[in-house]
Amino acid sequence: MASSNSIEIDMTPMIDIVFQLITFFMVVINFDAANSDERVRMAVSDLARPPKMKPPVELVLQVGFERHRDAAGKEIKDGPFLFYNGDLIPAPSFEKVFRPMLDREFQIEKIKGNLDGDGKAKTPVVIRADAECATGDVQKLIQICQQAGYEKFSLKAMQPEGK
Amino acid sequence: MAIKLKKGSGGFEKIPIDMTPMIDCVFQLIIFFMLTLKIRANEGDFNINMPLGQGVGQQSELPPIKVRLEANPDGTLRTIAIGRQSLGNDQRAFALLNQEVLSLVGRPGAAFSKDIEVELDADYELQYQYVVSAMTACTGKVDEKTGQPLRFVEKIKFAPPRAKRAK
Repeated sequence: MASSNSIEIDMTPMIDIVFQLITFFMVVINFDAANSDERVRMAVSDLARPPKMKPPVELVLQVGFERHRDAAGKEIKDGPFLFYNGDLIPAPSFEKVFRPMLDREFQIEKIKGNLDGDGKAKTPVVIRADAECATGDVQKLIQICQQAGYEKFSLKAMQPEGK
Repeated sequence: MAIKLKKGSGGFEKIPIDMTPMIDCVFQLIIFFMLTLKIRANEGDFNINMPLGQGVGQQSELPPIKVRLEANPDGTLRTIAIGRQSLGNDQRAFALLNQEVLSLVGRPGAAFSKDIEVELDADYELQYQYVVSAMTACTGKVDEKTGQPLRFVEKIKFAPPRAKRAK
């Protein structure tokens, strides 16, 4: 490129396109999906729309299954589990294992002064539950949260494809 | 890509700018974005407010619309009932539930619709997807003309959880 005899290649169009591509990917990439967990296959709802105002802090609870395939290729699922801070908490242990963790979370809310007039946490609990998990397990989780001092809940569902 | 000109003894000569490191970085960025990109459907939510110990009908003056969801032992839906009326267990049952709730509310956006509450009473084993479908059917519908959701019930709550069936 430096020599006077060499053929100069105009790089400008390529760099233009490459920057367009980078801009496209940066715009399309969904950082909100950081909360999503592949193990949770949520139910689809026509009315599911992203919230207009996202609360600054939320407590996200993911309930799903560990899925794997056997030698014949058939899907086997274990669970349901609560996926919380890297732990897998089976449904029967929600009260015993998760409740102390939630109490600690509530203490942090208290220290931060993030409680309303009734002494309940202002932080909403977002529940991302798998479509196939038992409703009773989700209700049990809600009950534990209520007992710990949370009363605002947001139940997540997927928008239908192409909407 | 030679852009700058430098005045030398024999006139102007081009100073080459080495673009290679920049192009390397740019391609690294593209590869990163391509690999991390996950195209997935958006998530939406149903907000419910459930203070501890709130009994049926304590929050609202109007009695709640009670929707009962019964499950088969394998967690599939056996039947939906609103009041004492059974609606079935297929997609048509959810459409009927939607119509029934709308007929109780009157019309979307009715003045008292904000006070109306729907109470879902589901069996423990029922798969959560049916509860989401019931919540969808109870809270509104999609306007066919605009494609936007029309909500006619804002408040949803759960009845106390039922006991798990003995296997």
